[in-house]
Amino acid sequence: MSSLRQVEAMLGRESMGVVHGLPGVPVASPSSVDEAREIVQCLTKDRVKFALLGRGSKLGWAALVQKPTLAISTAKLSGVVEFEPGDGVMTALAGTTLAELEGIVRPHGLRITPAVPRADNATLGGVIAAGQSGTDRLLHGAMRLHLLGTRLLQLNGQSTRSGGQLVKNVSGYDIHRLLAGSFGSLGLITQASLRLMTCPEDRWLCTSQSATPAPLVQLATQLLESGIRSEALIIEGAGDAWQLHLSLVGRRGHVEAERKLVAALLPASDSLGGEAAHTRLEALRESEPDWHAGDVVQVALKRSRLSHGLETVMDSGFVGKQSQYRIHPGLATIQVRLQSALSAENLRQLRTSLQALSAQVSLKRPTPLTEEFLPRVVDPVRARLVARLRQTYDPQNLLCTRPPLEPIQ
Amino acid sequence: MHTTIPRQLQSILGDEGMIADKNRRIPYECDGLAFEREIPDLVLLPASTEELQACLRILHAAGIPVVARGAGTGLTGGATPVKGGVVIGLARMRKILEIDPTNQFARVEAGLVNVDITHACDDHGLFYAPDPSSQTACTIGGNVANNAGGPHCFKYGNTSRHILGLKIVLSDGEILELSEPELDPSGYDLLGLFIGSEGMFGIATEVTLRLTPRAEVTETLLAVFPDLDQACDTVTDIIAEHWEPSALEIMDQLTIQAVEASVFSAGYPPDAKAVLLIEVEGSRPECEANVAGIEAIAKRHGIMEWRRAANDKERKKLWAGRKGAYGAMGRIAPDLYVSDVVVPRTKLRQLVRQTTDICERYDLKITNVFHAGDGNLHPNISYDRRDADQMRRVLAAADEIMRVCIDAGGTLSGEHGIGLEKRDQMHMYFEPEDMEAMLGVRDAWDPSGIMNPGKMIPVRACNEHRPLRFKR
Repeated sequence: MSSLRQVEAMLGRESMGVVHGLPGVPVASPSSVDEAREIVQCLTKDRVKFALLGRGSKLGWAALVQKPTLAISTAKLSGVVEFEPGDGVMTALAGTTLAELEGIVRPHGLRITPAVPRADNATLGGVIAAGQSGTDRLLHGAMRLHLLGTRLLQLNGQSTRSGGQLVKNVSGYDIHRLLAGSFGSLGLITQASLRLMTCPEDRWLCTSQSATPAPLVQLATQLLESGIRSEALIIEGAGDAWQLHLSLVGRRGHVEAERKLVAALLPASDSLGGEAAHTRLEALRESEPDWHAGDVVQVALKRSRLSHGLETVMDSGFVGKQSQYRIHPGLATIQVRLQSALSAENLRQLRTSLQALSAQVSLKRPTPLTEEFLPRVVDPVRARLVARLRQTYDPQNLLCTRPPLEPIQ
Repeated sequence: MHTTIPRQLQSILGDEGMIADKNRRIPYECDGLAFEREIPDLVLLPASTEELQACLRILHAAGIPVVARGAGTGLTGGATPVKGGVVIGLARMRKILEIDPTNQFARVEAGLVNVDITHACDDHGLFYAPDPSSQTACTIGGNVANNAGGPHCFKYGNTSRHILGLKIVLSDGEILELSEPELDPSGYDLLGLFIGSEGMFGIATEVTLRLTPRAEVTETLLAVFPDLDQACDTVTDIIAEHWEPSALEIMDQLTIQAVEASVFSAGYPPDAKAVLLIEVEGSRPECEANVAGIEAIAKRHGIMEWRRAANDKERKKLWAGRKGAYGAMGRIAPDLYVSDVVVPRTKLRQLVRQTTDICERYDLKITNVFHAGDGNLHPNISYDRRDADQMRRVLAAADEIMRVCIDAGGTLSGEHGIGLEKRDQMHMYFEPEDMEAMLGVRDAWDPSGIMNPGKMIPVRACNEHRPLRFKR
């Protein structure tokens, strides 16, 4: 019997399906870790290529290197394993959506980071595997910093733990940090523990408009230098319509004091407070396009070089001013959704022009990146180490994942 | 060790960079875990990444075990030499290479003492947040190896949250460059994996650190309690009610008395059964809200006294007692065993009581000074290591403390690491397959197995699966 037939016999037809973004590939959705283990063992025994998914919401980010014969989804591995509101920590199965988790912790005055768009379709395991950040990145940092532990189903069928459910823990290697952003290339994350954030007592959101981004970048720099602690500081726009969004959170008196500081810097802005600010920020988050889908150029550089970097990008004819931009001044990143596909030559020119600023330029596109789009030669020392790590977890090279996994200069 | 090897190493390092004389090697026989000792065959003190690289190539080819050492302040035997091996000290690599106040980072050599970077960027209104009690002596490289913490890690997190880049020399002398600060790793998070690997993956020689802006206002508070349980319950409620101090440190009566009798006297009331040292940082309104909220909880739990440092001098004095607590304990007994376990913060009272009961049962003197806000207990046992029976009781009590904490949902270590001290207790927390996975990762980083062999992962247990490999 073929591996696919065996998997179908194991799970029953109702647990087999398809997922948008992976046409022609059957998706098995085990409802327990033991079932997932049986499937993995069956596939590895027969050396079948397979992919690991949450709900498949990030399949549009990049194409898989090879087409898998089967995908395993964690969609049915759902539910809270342990939640201790008094300790501010939670452990849940990997297929639980962030919206479900948020619904559970919110009544206790807690919230989940990252605050990602379309959280009702984003699984905990998927967000970890993708190393995804949310609109609260500026305040809370990357989600990998709040990942306390994981359970990983390895291809040898062993379920291994790293870390735990404690806010401070240095026992053993932090293998869970290796899994954050590993895009399902090391095994199936089946469970994870998170540190929870406190819901702010108050919130204030303001938006400032401009016909060009430069004054908004300057304002953002002033805001950052003033020591204001914002949850989100985003500039977005295209052509002659640009907006700066600033979200302040914290204790009531603190938000009020910072609001006054901001008012002095941003005199002409629309603002909202309290629940209305929260609703508006959520709406902004939900309305944003998936910045990982389509041809997107990302430039990361030092904060002090942001203005210069933005000018350089906008002045390059092939990116242009009409493309849609999103700038995170606090994180010093510029994202540009291109109107038309970028050629390798254009990308090379952009990199050359940004070289003086020591900027890192990367291209995201839904089709596999060919050699000419890889921005730098892989460091051979790193490449050998990564190959050994991959060999440790996937000795038969069965896992189909997205490229490029490795850093490119 | 073949006789040609010291000559080859000396030709790289010069006289200043190598210690061969036995009397001068003795200080390197242990770190802060004094009862595990082994004199290294050689001590190497490279002055640059390139020197270290050249040395490792030779040692790797000869299969000689290597133990990296910062200042030797570690408490778990992570820097205890391995028989037949060498110690590589980073003491000659302590330069600050770059401070970039605008972009809030610094690049330093790994042998730099922790507090020196904070001093160096003080004028820019910045500081380096991880502040282990040994911060005036411990090195940044050692902090990276152990993912070190400290009182203010309650707010700011352990070392791993503050490292942006590393330059690492691998066991075969290859240099792994992870030193360019990146927002997110563009591949695997090798940096996150390396931090806390206790010198078993390679040796970091350069570290890019995140610098943190100083808060507008800092308030230091002292809550004095007639009972240790009440201090613990206060902390549990502060966490549960979502107040946000930057540090929550408890000291029990024996600690208070030792501190007050020492040069670190901070004016803690000696008749108090416990004090809770609290720090609150942020904007003025934020601090006032936190102070009011925390004071109300402390009052609910029956405080004897509530103090608020009026100025920087008073603030420093209150902290001097806490930072000097370990030094002051030298008054109680010649040796101190500093345990390091973490428990759920909802169970502080129960676990502090249980650890105290265990020590009393073994007729041992225990003091408690700990990072209560993180649930990071430090049951400290004062003892005399010349007394074999006392030594046996210390180890038995430490074992039992770990067991009760893990049974309650806790873990083996919050900031000191595993090293030799807790290696054989790893099975209490991890399953054999978890440790097998760790061995796999370690093999990927160091296929030769020469980097700090025999630490963290229990050899006996793992021999059943696959022995640790290193050539002698």
